[in-house]
Formats: sequence, C-alpha cells, structure tokens
Amino acid sequence: MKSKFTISRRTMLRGLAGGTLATIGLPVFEAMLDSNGEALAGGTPLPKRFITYMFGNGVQLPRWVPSTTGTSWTLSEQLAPLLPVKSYINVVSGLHNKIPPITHHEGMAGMWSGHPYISNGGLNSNFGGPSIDQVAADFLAPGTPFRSIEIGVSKRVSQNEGPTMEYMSHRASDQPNPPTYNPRVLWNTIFNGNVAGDPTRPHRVSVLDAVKGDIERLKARLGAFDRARLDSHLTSVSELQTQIGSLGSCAPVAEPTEENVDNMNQQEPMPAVAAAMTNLLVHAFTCDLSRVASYMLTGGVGFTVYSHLGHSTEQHEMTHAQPSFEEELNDGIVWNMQQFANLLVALRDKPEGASNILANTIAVLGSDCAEGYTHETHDMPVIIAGGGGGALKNPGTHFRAGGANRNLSDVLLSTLKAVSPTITSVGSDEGLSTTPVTEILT
Amino acid sequence: MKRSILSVLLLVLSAGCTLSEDTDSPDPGETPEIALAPPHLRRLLTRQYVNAVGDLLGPEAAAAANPAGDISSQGFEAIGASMFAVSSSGVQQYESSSRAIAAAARAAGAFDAHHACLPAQPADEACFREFIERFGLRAWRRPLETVEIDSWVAVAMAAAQDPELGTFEHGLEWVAVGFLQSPNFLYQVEIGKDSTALNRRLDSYEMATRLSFFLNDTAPSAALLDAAKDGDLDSAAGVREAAAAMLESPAAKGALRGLYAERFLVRDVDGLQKDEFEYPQWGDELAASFQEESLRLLDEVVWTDDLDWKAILTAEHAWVDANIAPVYGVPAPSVGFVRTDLPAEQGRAGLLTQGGTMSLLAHPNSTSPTRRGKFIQERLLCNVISPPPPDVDISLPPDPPTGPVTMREKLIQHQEDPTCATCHVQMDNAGFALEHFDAIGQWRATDQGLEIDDSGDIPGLGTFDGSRGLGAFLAEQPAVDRCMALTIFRHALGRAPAIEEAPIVDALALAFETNDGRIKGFLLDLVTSDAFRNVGNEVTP
Repeated sequence: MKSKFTISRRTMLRGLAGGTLATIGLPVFEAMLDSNGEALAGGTPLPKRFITYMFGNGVQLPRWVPSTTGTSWTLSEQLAPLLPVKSYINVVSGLHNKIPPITHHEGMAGMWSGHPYISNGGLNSNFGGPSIDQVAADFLAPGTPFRSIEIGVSKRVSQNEGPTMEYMSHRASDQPNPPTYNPRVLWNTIFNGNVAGDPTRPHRVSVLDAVKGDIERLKARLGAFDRARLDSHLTSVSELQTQIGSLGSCAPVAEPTEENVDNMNQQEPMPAVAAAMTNLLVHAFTCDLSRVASYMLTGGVGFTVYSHLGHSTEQHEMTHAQPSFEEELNDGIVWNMQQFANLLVALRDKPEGASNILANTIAVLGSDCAEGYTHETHDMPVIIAGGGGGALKNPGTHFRAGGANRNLSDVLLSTLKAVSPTITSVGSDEGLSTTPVTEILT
Repeated sequence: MKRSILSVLLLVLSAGCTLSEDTDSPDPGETPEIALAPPHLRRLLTRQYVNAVGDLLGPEAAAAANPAGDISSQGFEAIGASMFAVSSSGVQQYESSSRAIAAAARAAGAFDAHHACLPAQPADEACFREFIERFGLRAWRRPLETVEIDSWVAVAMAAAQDPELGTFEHGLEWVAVGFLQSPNFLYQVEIGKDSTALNRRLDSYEMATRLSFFLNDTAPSAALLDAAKDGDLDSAAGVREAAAAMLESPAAKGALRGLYAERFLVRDVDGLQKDEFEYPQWGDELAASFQEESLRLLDEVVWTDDLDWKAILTAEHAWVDANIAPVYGVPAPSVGFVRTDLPAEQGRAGLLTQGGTMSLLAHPNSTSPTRRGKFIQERLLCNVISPPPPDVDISLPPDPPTGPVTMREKLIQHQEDPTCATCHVQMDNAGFALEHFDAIGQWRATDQGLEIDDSGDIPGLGTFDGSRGLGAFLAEQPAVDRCMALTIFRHALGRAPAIEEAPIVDALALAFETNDGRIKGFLLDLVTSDAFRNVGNEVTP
C-alpha cells in the first residue's frame, strides 16, 4: 500500500519535542521499513502494542470454553464473534486465580496485575502493584508521546470499594490510572492541541518547565512519601511536554460527537461509545502516539445494565437472581465479545509492513471472576489475541490447563514474555509467576 | 508508616464478622501530647479546585474548569487525595483545564482584579511582578519566594514578547496557565513550624488553607490570608473566631453537603437504573429531586435549626417537590421544594426512608434488606462487614412451589446456612425494619400480597420495630455520634486515625456530647483541637 504521506527529514524533526524522541506521531510507513517489511530500516523490530481489555462479572463457562483444545479448536457460542480474526486468537482456560478471594477484588488484582490487593478492610482495597499494561509500557512506551491510554465505556463502575474495583490500570499501587469515559475528552487529549505548528506550543512547554521548577523546590521540603508522589507527578509533566505537538504529520482523526451521556431513563449509550473509543484507539496506535492501552468495557462486579439489549437489570444482579437470567446474561457476554472482535478487526485492517497492526499486538481479554454466580476464581476466562510481533502462536490455539491449580499469573507472564523475553516474573506472593504458559508462545 | 486503627483490628479480630473501628478507649481524662501522623500533600478535590478557580477568576473561569477526577480510598476522596500520585492522564487534564480557565479568564477581563499597575508595554516586567505576587498569594495561599517570582516573570515576559501572540494580557494568561498546574496550587502543602518532640504547629497560612478547604471547600479569601499574615490564626481563639465566620458563609453549607453526599451515597442516586416496567416514573428528574430532598433535610437540621444532627434519622417530614410528591403520596407543591408532613401510617423517618436512600439500597426491581443493613452498619455505626467467603452461591432461593414468599422469609431461609448467617444477621436484620419501602422508596402495605413483618435488630446492640423504631433507636446510640466524629475526622484530615490517635477520636466523640449533637459546635471544637492545628513531626530530608 502506498502511503498518502511522505516522510522527509524535516517532517520527522517537526515531530520532535524537546529533542528527546526518535520518531513520534508517525505511522510506521513502508519508507521506514527494511526490504522484507518486517522491521524498521536499521533492523529495529516493528513496534509491539499491548492491550488489556475487560468486562465485568465473568462468563458462563459451559458456553464460553471451547470444546476442543489445540490448534484445531473451534469457537464456542460466546467466542463466535471472534470468527473473522480467529487465527489471531489464543484461548487459555482452566487457570486458577490464587489471590485470596473476597469476591471481585481478587479478580481485578489477579487478572490485571498478579499482585494481591492491599485490603482497607471489608470490601475496600488498593492494587498491590503495577498492572501488566504498565509493566508492558515500561518496555514499549519509551519514544512514544502517550505512555498508555486508559479507556472506559460503561460508567456503572463500583465507586465505593476503592481503586481496585474502580480502575483496571495502575502504574503502581499508589498511582491508579483512571480511564476516560468521554470520547470527546479522549480525542481532545490525544489529537487536539497536539497539532504540529501550534503557536502556543512553546509557551505550553515553557510553562511546564516552570511547573517542574516548582515541583523540584517543593519536593526538597517534603518527606519520602510525598517526594515519591511528586516524582511521579514530575515524570508525567515531562511526558506531557513530549506530547505537545506530537501529532506530527499524522492526520488527526475526526472529532467524535459522542460524549457518553445517559439518556433520560438513565440508559447508557454503550454501543456508540465503544465504537468511538475503538476508533480513537486504533488511530492512536496507527499514528504511533501510544503503544499501550487498557480498555474497560464494563467494570468489575458488573453494575452495567445492557439497556441496548433490552435489559432492565444489571449483570451482577442477573447472576444472583433466581430464576436467573441465563439468556440475557449470554446476550451481554456475546455483545462484549463482539466489541472486542470489532477492535481486533480494526487493528487487522490497518496494514503495517508486510502484515498489519494486529499481527504486532498482544491483546489480553479477561474479567474479574470466572462466573458471577459464585464469584468463581477457578477456570478464569482468558483470551490472548494478536500475533505479538511473531511471539504469539498464529494460528492460535486453545490451551487448557490440566488439574485445577495452574496459576492465572502464568498467562500474564506469557503476555509479558511476548513483549520482551527479558521479563522473567510477574506478580507477587500468591500471584507470583515465573512459569509462563509456553503453549501459546512461539 | 502507622497502621490505622482499622487495619490493626482486622488482624486481631479477623475471625469475627463485624467489628467496630473503635478500640477500647484509654481514659480520656489524661491527655498527654499525642504523636500525630505526619502530613501528606493533599490534592484538591475537584469541587475545591473549581470553587477556588471561581473565587480567583470568576464564574466564566470556573465554568471552563475540568480538573482531574477524585480518587476514593477507604471510602473517602479526601483520603485518596492524600495517598495517591496523580496519573499521567490526570496531569494532561490539569493542563488542558488550566488553559481553558486562563483563556476564559482573559476573555472576561478577570485578571484586572489582580494588578493595579497599567502596563507601559506588553512586556512590562514590573507590572508582571505585581500580578505574580498578588495572584500568587491567592492561588498558592502563601507569599511567593523571590526565586518563584523570577521564574514566573520569565514565563510572562516570553509570552508577552511572542511576535504572534504577544500582549500583556497573554503574559498574564500564561502565568495563570502555569500557576493552576503548579503543585503549590494543586496540593494543600502542610509543613508546619515550631516543632516539639512529637508535633509541629501549622503555620498561619497553612492553617488558613486547611480551615478554608475543610469548612468552605475553597481557597482562603483575601481577608483570611490577611488574618494569617497578622498572626490571627496562631491562637485557638483566633482560629475559632475565623471558623465561626466561615460557618456563616453559604460555602459552609456546600462543603457539608459535599461530605454528606459522599458519606451517605446521596450522589450515587444519580445514575441508578430501575426496572422501567415496574417503575416507569424513575429517571433523571426523580433521582435529582431525591438528591436535593436529602440535602435539604441536612441544611434544615444543621444550618436553619442547628439541631442535634441525628434529627436527620428521625424526621417525620420531608422536603417534597412535584417529582417526589406522587412517590410519597402527598399533594404536589406548585413550585420548588416544600417542607411537607408525611402520612403517619408510612412511618417515614428521615435519611433511612428517603426515596433516594431506599432506591440506592435496593435492586432495580426489589428491595434489599442486606444493602440497607450494610449501609446502617458501615455508614452510621462505622462497622466493617466481612466479605462473603469464597465460592459460595449467594443467590437467594426462588419462590417455592407453594407460592411467593416475602423478601424477609427468603433472607431468613438464606441465613440457615451458617457460613452466611454470621454476617447476614448483622445486615439483613436491621434492613428488615425498612421493608415497607420498595425499590424506589414508595410505601407499600404488603410484599407480594403478604403481610410485612418490619421488626428488626442489630445483634449485640438492640431491637426495634419498623422504620421509626429503627431511626429512634439509632439516634440514641453513642456509637452513631462516634461514627460521625470519625467520619468528619477522616474527611478533615484526609486520613484514618492511627491507633495512637484513639484518644483524639474519643475526645471528638465527647465533643458531640457536649454540643448536644450540633454539627456547628462540633466543627468549632474540631478545628481548634491540637489534632487539627498540628501535624506529626516526620523527619524531613
């Protein structure tokens, strides 16, 4: 495919902010690739992308787990939406989340970090360590303006149980990454105000230099706890300086109109929000503005009501009601998987080098429990999608762990191994893993 | 780091179900100086940020504000504000918010109030210096140091000399963009002075800031900063006088509403979904009316009548508007909210029977005595309910073939499982007293056509009959005052009390007693206490 952009040295330089970045705000064009289209000229591999993607309250295992294992696996009822990208799908089943359970909290912590949550008493906790998207960002983000992008779709998220239930991405146990729920706000952050040639850019950058001076002076007067917090703040200010003007020559995506406001009956516009968010994320990846994202379609516990499917009861309540709402629950889970599939298809349809962005992506799909009925922590639903830049099996496989004791964190480690083979462990305590699920790795 | 009372007790008592956050108190008669927890930076809450911007730069600027969101921990945004580092996206949001604010302020001419000089040229260094000193004092709540002034004068001069944008006003605008992103604006900074072996006294500017953000949810006024400069806040009497004046401000009402709406989940009523076939009247407007109803009772009890705050748990009237009237079965007022007596047979009793509370503590189409009892235990008694054990099916049994049964009967059947019962009796049995109120707070005579038994109990505490019995019972419990004292402590100081600080909580609970439950008197005692005026003497680098 012939790019409609041309890249000159001058264009590259215009994308620079602070002189620290190699390439920013540019699709990975053929012009920059080696003759095989598999690496950048000079031998640097094509960039990998990492996505964590969740919906709340688990699945219905009999309708989720594929009936056969190995590379000849076939799609189950709830995985059916993945058909167009099936070769990029690895299913891992039979894993046990070993974080001590108190319902749902262990699922957020175990699925997304492998670190036991830090209890605040009762049903209230903080994350115990960085989430895997942030571990991946340590390896993938350098050189891109946005370290990671946090997306939320349903706003019906548990808000009274602490950061563990409210957020899926955590840079550290004391630094949650709240998602953006409004597509216009996300667009504004990533694409607006970062246009090259904006006359306010030098002032924004110099203001931030002065702010950094304020932070440094304040830091010198504080104790260790607050110095660490201000160090994080300082890092984020420096990141922001590199974001200003970072759009470079990449055309900004059209401004979305969707703002994720409930209608008068307090129903959420979830389909429109998910579509808008997916579009923004794919464009950000295409422009190489970021390589890491977390995508919370619905929050843990499952307070979302799928009113667009005709439901009037939240997912969580559906799993605890008798008689239960088997078919409505299934419809919701299938819809979730359709949204995930839409993202994967959009990434597959973005050519990059000899293949496409999905081939260079590691997308991890999970939930905060296996099934909502009993808050089951065995047989967690996990999908690892994308080619992982050649690190993930393609065509994919269905690996089912033998016994009931294989650690959920083992598959988290597999995804990080796909990011960098130098990563040798993930999580801690009950969630520690040093033994990846190798069956999904090449 | 010190453990909170809560976490220590959890270690000791984790085998039990419910536990109080209160320790067995030492004799409060002896009060030697207590080592306080060291201070942490406290990021302004979003409402504090917006209010401060409005006070500094006017309503147009406040309307443009869109700061990074609050992060709650341990049930309090004030605690999250003193624990967590701001995220990268939060820093991005502060930047875009500050640009929008500054642009709106420039368009509205709001910078004029912060300088008297007339610029002789766009890059008028002396005039920038005056603005930075004056605006900086208000925005950062303290006089600026020379190095700070110089740094920001340079920003202003560069902006004013920009060949494309350069005007004096642009210089001011970029200073404002920066000041609102500075940690000196975004965080309450509390270093203290005059250290003893254990603690340090807040300096007078820090005291002004703590007082103002706590009592009025905004930055200190110019007058309060003047008082700080004159040393008026260095004595308990001076603090009391300043605080009493602040409690007269309308902002005090707003600040208490903010805490109350967080603690009693009033703000969560907005966003609830209900079964639209069962409750077609549910929607945005009714939810908003319920929220306002709840806050109006707070206003009345605390500010209008200055009563024992626990009147909120026994009120037999409500503030009713046209949306609420049909739910409560009373005539609709022609306009606004009207204080309305309610039909006696409904037995309404303030907060716990308000439509908002009942809607929140219910499912989309059925009541939830469990959620209602949990709310009473956690938010009125400060007890913690253990989470359910792993891998149990927490579904309620279906109706038996003999026909429907009441919610109470279903839950009692559920309690036959001993693993569930230990905790569920602590919740369900209190919630049973509210069974006459359906999932949106309408009074109902029966449950599925069956008679309702609304007797209830809190094991270890006592028994009661019906909603008014429950309200009156709670209003007599010292633990309820103590819990409110703990709640206000956590919000005021942005942290849970450390175990060494239990005597402070005892003293605060006592302050409710000596003030006959009046919030205003309690707040004055709190802000003049050593716990509020001092911070721990953590060794700084």
